[in-house]
Amino acid sequence: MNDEQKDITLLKRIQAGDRLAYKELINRHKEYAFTVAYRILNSREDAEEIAQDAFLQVFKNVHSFNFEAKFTTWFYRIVFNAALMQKRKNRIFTEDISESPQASLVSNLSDSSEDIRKNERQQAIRRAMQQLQADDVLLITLFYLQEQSLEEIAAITQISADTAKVKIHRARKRLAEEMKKHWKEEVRSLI
Amino acid sequence: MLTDEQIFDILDGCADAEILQKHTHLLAGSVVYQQYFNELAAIHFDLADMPLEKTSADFTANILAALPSEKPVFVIAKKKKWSAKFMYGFFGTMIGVLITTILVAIFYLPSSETTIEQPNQVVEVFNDFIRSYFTQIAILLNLMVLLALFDRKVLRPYFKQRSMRLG
Repeated sequence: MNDEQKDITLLKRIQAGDRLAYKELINRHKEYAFTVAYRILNSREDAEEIAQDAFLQVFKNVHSFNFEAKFTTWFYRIVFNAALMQKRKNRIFTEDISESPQASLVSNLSDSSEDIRKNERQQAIRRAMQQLQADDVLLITLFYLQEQSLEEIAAITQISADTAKVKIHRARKRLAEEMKKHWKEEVRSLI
Repeated sequence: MLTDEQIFDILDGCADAEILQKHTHLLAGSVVYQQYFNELAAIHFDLADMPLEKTSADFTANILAALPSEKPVFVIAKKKKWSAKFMYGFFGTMIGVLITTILVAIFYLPSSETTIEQPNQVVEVFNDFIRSYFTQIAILLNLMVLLALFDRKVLRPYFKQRSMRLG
């Protein structure tokens, strides 16, 4: 049974009132949902709240799901919309403690030098992502995390597959530019 | 020089042979291209390697706790055999009483012919019984049946619902 069929089976069980199936569905998708929300919001608390709300919306509207689209397409659309609304609400910038350089230094103490370099690069990517538009972050996250096809990403973001492809290229280009800026600032701060 | 789209196509593994050939040629001959390609490749592989973020330990439990409470499941208990037999017996008795009542009514129908009957002691006793007790017992039985039905159909469901709401 592939992932899509598994989701369909679980959704049918949820529609029949099986709460264990709902729990299983949450456990299957919680990390992806949380990651998408976290990359957009950059706050663990907000991302967790958004991901939890998205799962509650799934439960509330599960009877209206008609199995024509993939569950993940429907679900990530809910997560993205909720995260986007939250981002608009959060006008005040709040830096997450776990994202601060001090926190990363502490968490890096036990790692090898290669791991440290990798972690630093990934932290830089996360920081660069904060400078991107929410839909760019979503496109990059879906493209790399779930290894979803362009058609699926297009369905989630409600654009055509060709447009999705172009937008993913542009988003990565913007990310590369942000990374460049970030490294330049790092070098400047060292000098 | 290749465009960014073409470079990303190479990294995504969907570039055609012509672009790949150009890419190999540029990589060998241009330091600027080599540097630019490596920059994009580093980001590409770092993005691909980025792990999923972990949720808090009570993530699932919090969602399940926020769900509306489950509706109580009503289990329809099968009637025991003796209770089914009791019901048949009860209705049988009632039908018997009804038939007897009708028969007695027919027996006492006023007839146009007047007959002079010889007094019979057995009939007299029977008549006395019918007049004094039988009607009263029949009325009492009917009343009991009515009360039992009222209890079963109205009172019990009402109090059951009420106790569930309070619970």
